[in-house]
Amino acid sequence: MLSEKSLAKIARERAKYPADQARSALLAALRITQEEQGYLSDAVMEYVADLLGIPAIQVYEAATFYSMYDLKPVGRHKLCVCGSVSCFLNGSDAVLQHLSERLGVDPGETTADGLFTLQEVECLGACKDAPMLQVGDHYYENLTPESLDALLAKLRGGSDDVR
Amino acid sequence: MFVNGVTLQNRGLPDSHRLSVYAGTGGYGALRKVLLDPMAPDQIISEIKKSALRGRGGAGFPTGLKWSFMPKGVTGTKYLLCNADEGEPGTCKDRDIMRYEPHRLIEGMIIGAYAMGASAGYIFIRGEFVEPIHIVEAALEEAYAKGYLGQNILGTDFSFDLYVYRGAGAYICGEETALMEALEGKKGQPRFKPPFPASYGLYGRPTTINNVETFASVPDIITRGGDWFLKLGKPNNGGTKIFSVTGQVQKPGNYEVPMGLPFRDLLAMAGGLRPGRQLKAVIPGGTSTAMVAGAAMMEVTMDYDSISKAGSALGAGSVIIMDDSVCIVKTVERIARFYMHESCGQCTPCREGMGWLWRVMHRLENGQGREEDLQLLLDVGSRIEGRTICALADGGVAPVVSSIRLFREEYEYHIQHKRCLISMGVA
Amino acid sequence: MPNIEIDGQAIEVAPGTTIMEAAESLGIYIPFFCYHPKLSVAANCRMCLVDVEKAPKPLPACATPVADGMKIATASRKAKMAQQGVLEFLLINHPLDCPICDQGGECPLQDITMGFANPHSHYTEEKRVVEDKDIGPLIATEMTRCIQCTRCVRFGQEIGGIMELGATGRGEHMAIGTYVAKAVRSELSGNMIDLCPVGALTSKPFRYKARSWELKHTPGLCPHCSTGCNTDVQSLGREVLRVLPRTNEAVNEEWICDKGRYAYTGLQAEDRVTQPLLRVDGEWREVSWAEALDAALSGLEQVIARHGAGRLAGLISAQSSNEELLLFQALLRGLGSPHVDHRLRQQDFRADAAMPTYPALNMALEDLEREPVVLLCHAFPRQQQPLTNHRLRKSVLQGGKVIAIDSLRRDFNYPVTQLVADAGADLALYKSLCSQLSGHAEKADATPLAHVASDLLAADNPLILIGSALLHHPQAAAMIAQIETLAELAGGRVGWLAQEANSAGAWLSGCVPHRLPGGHTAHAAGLPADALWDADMRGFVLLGTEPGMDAIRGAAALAALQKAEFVLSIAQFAGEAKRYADVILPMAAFAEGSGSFVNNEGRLQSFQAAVKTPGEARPAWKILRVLGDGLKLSGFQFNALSEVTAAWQHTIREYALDVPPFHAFPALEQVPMPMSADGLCRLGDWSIYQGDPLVRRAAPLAQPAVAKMHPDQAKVLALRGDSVEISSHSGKVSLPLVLDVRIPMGAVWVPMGYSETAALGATCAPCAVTMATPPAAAASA
Repeated sequence: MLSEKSLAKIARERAKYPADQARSALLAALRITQEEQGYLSDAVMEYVADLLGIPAIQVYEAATFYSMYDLKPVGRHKLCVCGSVSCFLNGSDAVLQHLSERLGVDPGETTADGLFTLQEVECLGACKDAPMLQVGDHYYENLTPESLDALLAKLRGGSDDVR
Repeated sequence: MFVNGVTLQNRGLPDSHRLSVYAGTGGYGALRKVLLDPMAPDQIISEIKKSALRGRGGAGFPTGLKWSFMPKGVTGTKYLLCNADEGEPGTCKDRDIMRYEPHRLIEGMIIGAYAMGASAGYIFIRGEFVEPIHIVEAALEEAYAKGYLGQNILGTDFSFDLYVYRGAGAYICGEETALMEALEGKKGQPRFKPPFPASYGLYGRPTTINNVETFASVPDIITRGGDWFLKLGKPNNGGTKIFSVTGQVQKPGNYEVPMGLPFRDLLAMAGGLRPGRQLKAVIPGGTSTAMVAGAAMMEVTMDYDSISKAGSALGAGSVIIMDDSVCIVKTVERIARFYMHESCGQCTPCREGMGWLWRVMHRLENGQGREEDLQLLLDVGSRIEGRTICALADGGVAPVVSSIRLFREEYEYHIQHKRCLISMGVA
Repeated sequence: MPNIEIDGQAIEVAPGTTIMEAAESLGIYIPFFCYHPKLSVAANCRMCLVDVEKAPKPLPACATPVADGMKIATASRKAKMAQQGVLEFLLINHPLDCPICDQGGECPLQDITMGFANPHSHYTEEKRVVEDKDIGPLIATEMTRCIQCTRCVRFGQEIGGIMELGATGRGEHMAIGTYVAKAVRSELSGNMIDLCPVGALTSKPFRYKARSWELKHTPGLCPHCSTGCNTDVQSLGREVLRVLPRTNEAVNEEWICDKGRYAYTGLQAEDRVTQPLLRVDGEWREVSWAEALDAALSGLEQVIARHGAGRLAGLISAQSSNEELLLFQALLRGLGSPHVDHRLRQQDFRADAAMPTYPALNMALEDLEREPVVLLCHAFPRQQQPLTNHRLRKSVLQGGKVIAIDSLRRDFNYPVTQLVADAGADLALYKSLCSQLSGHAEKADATPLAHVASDLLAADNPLILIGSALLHHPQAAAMIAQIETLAELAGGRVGWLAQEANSAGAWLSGCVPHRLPGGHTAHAAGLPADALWDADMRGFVLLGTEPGMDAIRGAAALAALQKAEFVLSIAQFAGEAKRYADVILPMAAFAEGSGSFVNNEGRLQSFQAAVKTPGEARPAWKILRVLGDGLKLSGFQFNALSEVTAAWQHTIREYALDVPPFHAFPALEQVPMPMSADGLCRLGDWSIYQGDPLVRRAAPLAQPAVAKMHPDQAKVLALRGDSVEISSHSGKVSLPLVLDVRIPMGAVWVPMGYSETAALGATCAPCAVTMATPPAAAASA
């Protein structure tokens, strides 16, 4: 169900913890799984449970508790716009509105072409560079309408900055 | 003034995250001193006590005292954890330490591990911080390669393994026992204390946990002495502190300054307010701390005691500046939304109360406020405060209650006129 | 020892005592929801906040250990404000639908609201609605009522030993549920209903049946296994509506298993008999008691007259009460028949002489919790005796070790070292273990067998428990003898895990062919149950049993019963009896009669009738009395049950709680396993919800019969698809096939206790398994 590469990554995470603490690798295993599969399906969460030897419900508890896991498919690029106070004071609502207009979707929705999911998220810890958003591994900071348009163009051009 | 002199002292150097650059400025000298000179663990702890270093994560607990709680002479593993789950709105300092000074953090942790007899450690970094995670992981590899980590560090019989643990998106994991639960692969729900982590921490083992900035302060305290650090700041408020100045200032950023710096100087460093604006309010320590009126804040110095006297807390040094263009109600509604979103859900008052506060705030902001709402907010707040396992709920109440006290007329305007006193233009 | 003060009362308590415990010992009530003395402390509901002098904040009584000099106020203004505040938060999103809630009237949330709430809520926002989950046929959910105390979640993890419910989501979205709407499977799941302090989890079969305060409560005993759990049978009018645990710390604590909780639903089965039935010219007719009794008496008399009493046999369920068992054997023996038995599931009786007076655990159930090393011999208490199993689980959680020897790998809910015999080679495994223990084994020190041997040798007096599956084995006698040797070699002691609620009573009351009441040897021993089917019996008396499903060779039993001239069935259900009986006398079922059982510890416990018998059904002891009277037998002149009970006590006298596990073994002739070279060994046992006529009819518990096989074995046999045909020398059955790595190679597992598997005959017989012929192909062929 998972590639050799992902399984090897999970094994490396597993090795960080004592022999009787396989569950410690759960958050990492879910992240690695989501990186490979795009989201966490019911089947793959059960697979991860078996992999670590823990009850499936414990996997489900964690997957629904932490905000970085997607239990439903999302767009190729997930635009996570910070809306917490420092970003808010620097115009995060306008960022969200700008993206919403450009993409034709409301926050929480995915574009019809499956390219973008727009989301408003809580504080991402880059308050001095507000307003900001996250796509995949990267933060984009001090956003302006121009820089947002440039970002969308870059992502549409096939950036591998996925999700 | 000694600015950016301790935990971010190398920030301006190219490749400051590399071990070679850190070593070039004396990095890992403190570790050598401790292990090779050698310094007894007790000596280290008393040096830390002397420095009056207090926890930089928000609670301000004296670090040396915390380290002294770790039990001695126990068999089995003791753990040392670093809390890098930076997530309180307004707080963005640890990210920069990890990006620019990862080795300072690592060296501080190794020294701490030696002082407390810990043999394994984890740096719990919030999952969204991918760039800092990669930098810290690379730095750990460098440190292992140099023999600063692993078995028989620097040829001594001291061994310490250190790993990065990636969070997955939950502010509550910044609470130390929630962090331990998350590290065990569980939901990050704070544990009831007692027992305290020093006796029952990660995997039920003795554990000490400190913030990134706290650990990063350690190497210089060892090299230059506790007295040196103490004298940088004020008595009981030793050293320098990073203040993340954000919100409506011209040059938001991380400013590492001596404790006790007047707020007005800090504001000036951050470029001051935007042209033509007046200071309306400041949240001095992150959103979990009470709001202070602008005028009062101008009289405060930036240290634990002075801010406490002004009715708020230094917290993690997250200074959020609001000028007179800001609608307090809308801003507090946004803050309340954060706490509703981040409540872990286990304690009744927080699970039910955070949403209640936000719903009332949301109504107020949307012109559906009622006369009795202000009293309701204060009452609900008083029924939440001090009645939960951890401090998240108290943090969620503070901005609501303090802002009503300071800006009551603005709230009342919302109720009476069904709209903002100040219309916040969208950017 | 800390000295503290609660509400002005001083008390000295042990260090580590919590405020809650200290208050309880003073009789001071502190309200709570999430706290439960048998679960870990969560301290999440915050209802038990109390005012502790010098503490800035109110503290949760459930989690706060006392400290010397602590002064606690549970009802000060500060404490009350905290309690009221918490209660208001709990209620803002609670639907307050008490009028239609099954928890109404027995709801801690209702009660505590009554006692502690501020009558005015300030909440005017919209209430939260939580989606319901279907978590199976036993537990109804109404998740909007949930107050997130997590008792159910902790129960699963800590007591049930299988975590199925969890708290998913976070903050106000935190909700209790299973993994993606799975059904709950734990055999202890119903206890979560009792633990739920609100109406979020309620009994599905009980849903909307009655208001709790209308129910009559009668102290009952669970008739479904040898643990003897104490129950509270709740009824309305003539109907049993609920069975709940009745606390008895020494037996079942405050739990019961789902079998005991839900089996009552079988009382409503369609084939329940409530009127005497008589077969007239091949047709069944409802008749009066007088007519039925006449037919019964003359039927019995005729069999005896024509063939002698030696051709008459009696089989009785070990769910029967001591009183019924005593009268039953008295009836048969009074008529001159020595053939009385209750052991329908057994096939090897060669060790009968060696069997103990009754199958006794030889210790208190409670003490199982403290056994450091336990060896289970063909025993799977998780299914057979769930709450005895719970004691073993506790011992393991406290560092004890449980080792199991069995024919297949079992799904224990705690860590167990398991030794699984090669298919059919169970006896050989006990022999190998004995060789290891005696040091005669070849050098193979790293084998699991050697590890087990060294664990047993290292243990001080390990406990060896013999389970019911062992008794069902074709080489049971030799295995029992081997276990005696094993116990000697290991320096251990032996106890028996009795199967049924009154297996002990059945032995003590003389319902075995070779022993009389009190365990005295019968001078003329009769035939054991399984031998009757081939012994040309002409008449049978059955009580509470369905040999087609209860006997080890169901098909053979049915054939013998159908061949007999006269069969009297005293039964609760007519379904099977109609296939062979001549007279069916309707008897009281669970909760309809009174009596006593002896549990696995030897504990004599009694139960009361909760409801009247339906229709013309009568308590079995009365039916037996009338029959005995009618047959002019002596010793049947009873007017009341208490007189029968007194007779039982007089006959049995004092029986020991600690009985020698074996009497002297007779010489055992070697019996080879009935294996064939290319056949598979048929494994199987009575599944948890198939063990007796009542539970088999409990629809919410029903699990379909399936065959199980190791996936590699299925591959060897090229079995695809899900339906297979299994045939033995005695017959052929068709079942869905489930692949299961716990089944050893060379075997197929087919459950007992189902009418659809009866044709296959006894366990361990050789079988062939092939793909089932698809109906279409069969039609064209």
